[in-house]
Amino acid sequence: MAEKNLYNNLNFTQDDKVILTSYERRLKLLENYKAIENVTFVGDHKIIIDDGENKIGFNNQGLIAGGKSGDQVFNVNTFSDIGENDYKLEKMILKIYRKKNKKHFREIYNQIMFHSYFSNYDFTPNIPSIPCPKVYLQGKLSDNEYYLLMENVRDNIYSCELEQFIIKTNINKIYNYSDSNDCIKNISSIENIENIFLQLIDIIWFMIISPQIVYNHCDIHPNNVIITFDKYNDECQVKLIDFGEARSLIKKTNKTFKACDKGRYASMSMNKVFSTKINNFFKKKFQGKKSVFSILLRELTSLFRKDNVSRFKVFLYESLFVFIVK
Amino acid sequence: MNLYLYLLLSEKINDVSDLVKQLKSLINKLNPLKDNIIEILNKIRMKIQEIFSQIKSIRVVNFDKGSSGSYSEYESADV
Repeated sequence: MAEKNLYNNLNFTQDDKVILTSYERRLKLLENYKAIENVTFVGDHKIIIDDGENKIGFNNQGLIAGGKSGDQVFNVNTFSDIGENDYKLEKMILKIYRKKNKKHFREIYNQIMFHSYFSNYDFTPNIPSIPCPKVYLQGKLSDNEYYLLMENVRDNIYSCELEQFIIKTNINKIYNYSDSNDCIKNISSIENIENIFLQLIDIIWFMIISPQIVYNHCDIHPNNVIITFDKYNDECQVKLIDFGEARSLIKKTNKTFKACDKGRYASMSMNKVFSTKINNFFKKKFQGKKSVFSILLRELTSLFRKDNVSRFKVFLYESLFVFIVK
Repeated sequence: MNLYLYLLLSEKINDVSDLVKQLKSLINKLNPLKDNIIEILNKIRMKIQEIFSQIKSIRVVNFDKGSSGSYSEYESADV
């Protein structure tokens, strides 16, 4: 029921303040919301999250990222109870947002929505599992801090970004590792590579055409596409990460907006690759070369300069002379 | 994606360059706000399949040539 309500409330308003409060309200409605009073770092290796009643302990594997924005991303491990004294080691990512920001809410919210949509979907062979990290917990830490606890998709040695994957397969091909094991050979097989690209297209397809949730990731580039290898089934799976720039395209409201921010890595690199029209044409053809256009352009600009007024006059007199003679 | 297909296929780019150009123009046309998005996505999917089927056929030809020679020739043709 909660999910249905969320789908109905997807129409965003343009006012930032309204968006912030609406995001906060929506996050509280979700099942995996948990307000946390305190996060304690014990030594270098343990993080204890305390919600007043319960304590959740994590084995801290290290800080992955902590840049200008102040957001901290930890690689953490924990044991989950499967039942009857059986425990399973889960590798997770704990992301702590240090500022209250529209983008942060959007990231948490989009990731949860995306995950909930694909968890109800009947998977085809092209998309064998949920193509994004699972969200275990999310919520508030203090007044301006939010956290997101999600699945670590890079949980085995064969999982890597698409960029690394391409480099690995090329290295494997160049150095011709005949001694490499079957697993590496299977990963770099052409069938698997084809499957990866088709999976990626299928994921984009379902994101865009689904009537329930119309999404555009807006930041798909090789560092945000994770390839995981299932060694039991000899299959590669594609997972998308980083939903900070994702937008929901609601066609019913007839609102149009820019699909992607221009400053993003993906759109910048796409511009580099695809800018084959006017800019590249002029750069390649006319830069540093004499051509009809460049000569004409130079002549025309020179006509309007003071130094060349006399030339312009001569040109005029000549044409007048011709006119008179005729 | 297109860029990485280029990298991936760098050795065989001459054989599939036309198809890659067509794929590039199709990706350029992709705009989720327009109505013909499904049609274009279909075409992109078909084009990717076409490119890979052509690469596979190249590999088979190389394999036939290499079968009379050494095993390493087959390995170098594999992606």
